[in-house]
Amino acid sequence: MKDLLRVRNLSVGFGLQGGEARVLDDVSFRVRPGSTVALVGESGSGKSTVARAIMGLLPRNGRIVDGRILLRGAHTGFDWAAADAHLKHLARIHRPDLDGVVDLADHDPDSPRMRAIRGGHVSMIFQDPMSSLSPLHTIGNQIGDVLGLHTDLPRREYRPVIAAMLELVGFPDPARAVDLYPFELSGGMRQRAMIAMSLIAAPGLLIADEPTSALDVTVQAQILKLIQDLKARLGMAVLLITHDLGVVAHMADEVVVLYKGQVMEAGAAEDIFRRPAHPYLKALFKALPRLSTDRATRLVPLREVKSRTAHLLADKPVWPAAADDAGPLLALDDVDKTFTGKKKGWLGAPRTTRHAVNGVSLAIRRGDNLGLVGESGCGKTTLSKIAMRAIEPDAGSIRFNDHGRIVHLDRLSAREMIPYRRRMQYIFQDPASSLDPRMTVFALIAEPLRIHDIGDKAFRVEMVKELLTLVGLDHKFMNRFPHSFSGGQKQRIGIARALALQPDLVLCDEPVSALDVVVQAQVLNLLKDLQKALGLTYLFVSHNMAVVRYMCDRVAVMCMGRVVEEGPTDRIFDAPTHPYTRALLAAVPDPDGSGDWLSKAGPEPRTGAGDPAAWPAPFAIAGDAVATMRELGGGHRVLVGTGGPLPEAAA
Amino acid sequence: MYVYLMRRLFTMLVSLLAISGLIFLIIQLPPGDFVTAYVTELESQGEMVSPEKIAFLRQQYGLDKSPLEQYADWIVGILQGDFGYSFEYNLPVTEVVGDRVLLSIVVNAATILFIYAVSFPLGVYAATHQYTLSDYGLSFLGFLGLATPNFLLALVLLYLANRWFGTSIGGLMDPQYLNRPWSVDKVLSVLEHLWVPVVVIGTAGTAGMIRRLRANLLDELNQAYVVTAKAKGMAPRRLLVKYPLRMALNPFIADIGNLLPQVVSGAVIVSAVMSLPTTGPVLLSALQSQDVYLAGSFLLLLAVLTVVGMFVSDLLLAALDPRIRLVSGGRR
Repeated sequence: MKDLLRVRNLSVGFGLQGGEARVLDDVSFRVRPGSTVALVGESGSGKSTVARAIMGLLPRNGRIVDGRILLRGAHTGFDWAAADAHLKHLARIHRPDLDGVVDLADHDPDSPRMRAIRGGHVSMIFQDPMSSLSPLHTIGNQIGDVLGLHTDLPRREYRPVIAAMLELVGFPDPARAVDLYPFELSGGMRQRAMIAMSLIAAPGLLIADEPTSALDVTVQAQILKLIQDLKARLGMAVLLITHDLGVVAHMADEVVVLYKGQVMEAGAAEDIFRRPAHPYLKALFKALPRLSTDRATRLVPLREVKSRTAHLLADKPVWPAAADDAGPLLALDDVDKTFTGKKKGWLGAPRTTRHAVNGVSLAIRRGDNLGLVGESGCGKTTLSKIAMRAIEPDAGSIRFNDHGRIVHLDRLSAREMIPYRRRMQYIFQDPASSLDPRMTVFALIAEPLRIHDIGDKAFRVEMVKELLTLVGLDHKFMNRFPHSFSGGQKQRIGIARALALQPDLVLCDEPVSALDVVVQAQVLNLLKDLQKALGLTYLFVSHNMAVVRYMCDRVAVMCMGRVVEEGPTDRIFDAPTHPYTRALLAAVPDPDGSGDWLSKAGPEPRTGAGDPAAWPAPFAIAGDAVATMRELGGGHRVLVGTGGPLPEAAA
Repeated sequence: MYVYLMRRLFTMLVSLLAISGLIFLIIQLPPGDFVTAYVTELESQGEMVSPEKIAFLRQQYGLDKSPLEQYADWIVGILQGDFGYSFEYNLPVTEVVGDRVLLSIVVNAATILFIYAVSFPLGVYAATHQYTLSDYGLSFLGFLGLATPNFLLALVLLYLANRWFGTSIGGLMDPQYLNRPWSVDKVLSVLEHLWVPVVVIGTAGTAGMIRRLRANLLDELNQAYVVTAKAKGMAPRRLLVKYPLRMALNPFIADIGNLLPQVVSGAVIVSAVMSLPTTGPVLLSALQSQDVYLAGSFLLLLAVLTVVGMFVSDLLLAALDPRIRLVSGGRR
């Protein structure tokens, strides 16, 4: 057998009440030594189950019904004798070998042989590096486990070997890092520690289960590049499990597409991307927003949602003709918000403060869709909550155009604010946790009406029916509870609830980031249709650049509490000026992009892209210093710290 | 770290002072005082007490002073090692309590050890064998133990022992050792009697502890880091001890603060039923007869133990959990 791993006719069943559900059905694929194979599919397609079956980590109610998982017992193809100084450290480890070909499906997962394979010959990294590491043990200790289990290295020699491995995965101070706890590291560094742990016994196959889904886009690029580099350096093979076709396009040699536990299509990555044959894969590509997708082309979801409006919703006060001359629908001026950390006792350390929103000015014209992008912790959600006064700003003003009359929302008392709460509504990121599981769909959607005391029971029933039709759900669902709906349907219920009060402005906080690609396209199209039909204005908060390009008229890029660049969508995407915007765009893996995306990604952890002091002149901003927005023409503005001419805008 | 310790000790002192005030206040709250209770008792026995005698008694016991003065006297006395005088026993508080505190500690410490020794293996077993027959069996026994009142169990055991063996298992030693100085034989006699109260007092605690440990451990067993450890190829038993069990221990360490006072006061009713010479019954009667200094000193002792217990458990938690140690501004 030349292949490193060969999965043949694998079927896996999960025992459920009243029978067994077939999660994998006749799955076959192979992994050749030194190659990357991507398993692609939506959530529930069974892609993680494949990995679990290989590792012998199926949940207690799962079992392999049929099929074989053949592993050729070999460590990496790396020639340790020729290793450079760095890897020499690791080469001192004696690794017991596996003879011949082993059928993993044939072994008890808890048997000594299977345990020797798991972690020694095949290892795995997981999605969430926070919860995948024990919070009570240092990373050195947890990596040391692997050395103890799979090598005969004496314990006193663990430290230098672990430090060498940590250096290999990009820890700047590896000797110190050995003693750090996971909570002392950022998400990206934790994932690096996970990689160090999974590779220290030099397995021949690394299974990466959504290794970057929980990370920011710039960090994702670094981690993927690291995996790619180490793969080449150590000569291992990678089985990459992901739902992100952009990542697949840049990482994989071969692709296996799973749908409902069955292989839809498999082959070389290039063929798959250039000539998808199976209808499912074709549909998947049509549903995927890309960096190059502009607002004119419409995504094609697998099932389009039919949205219809009726009399109640159409019955909305009309804006006077000259109302828009008074100003934008919502304007934020020099909004500032500082969060203060908990004070630690009377004599403890001084309070830590974080400037979450730093002098931000933004305006949204009526009928527009303003995208607010940035990485986690940049302050975009805080800003959107300030806009609706869910969080009080420390300084700055919030102006709202009420049919031609400008109202300073920040000056209103809580009671005076109530009528304006009807005018702006919020769509949340996680549809599962933003719907009370104990309330029926009717109660959920009618709650805003009840709170604002609008209409009688008959009106509310009529309204809820209309709202459900509006988001493409059958009104027979009114008496059901949220748990009986899929993620996309739940999000549509959330949208219906936000529209119940007929708001002018809807704040969408990552409305599709918890959804699969296919469902994502469906919800995005629905939001677009609703905007047109009901004359809505959106503030669209997202970290997904492709989605923002598809949805928004204007984009504001936030970093460290500041808006660094703002302008019409096409200008931001086609001629990004600020270094942070450029870094953000460069980090997005585009399924259409050329093959050099990874090489452009910053290899080093803690690159300067997110650090205002490290930006080149004239963008650099030292600490909390004041910076100004400079006009570039055409409504395109960019934040500059120091004086000096701007470099040529990137073509 | 040093600053933290000093600050903690200071807040401990302040809270103890506040608690002592509250204790004194609450004991004084019911109408009357020890003398009133005493006189009523004498009168109910047909004795007449002259007003002069009552006034004399009041003056003798210091009850004619204002409550604030009485409180000050009490606190100042405690600081000098004098816990006051028990009206009921006509003895200094320390002498009334003396042996009883020692025996209480013996009984209750044995109980706690019993609870830990029995519930830990069973709790871990129940969690790792979730939804098996043995898990259900243990759960059933656990609920039975939780639902049975301790004193009832004590009564049943007393009855059965008397019926079958014709012996009394009440008390903590054979009668001939009562009020005798400590000797090897006396200690052996105590040990012989010890198991019954330990089992009686310990059942409910054991049952509760099994349930709690099972629940905690089940939570931890489903965590992602357990899967990671499995993926490394760790053997199940070592994995269990190193990762999830270690995490599941935190709530129990946090509980030490509540354990210490129990060691001294625990199981008042069972002690009364089984006529154990522990402190519980004394505290009960001291509260009933408004024996101010005896009851007050007792309660204060419990307060001290609670506060010290909390302090110890905080330190232990910090030692065992790096998140607590390092996040709250500590140094490595």
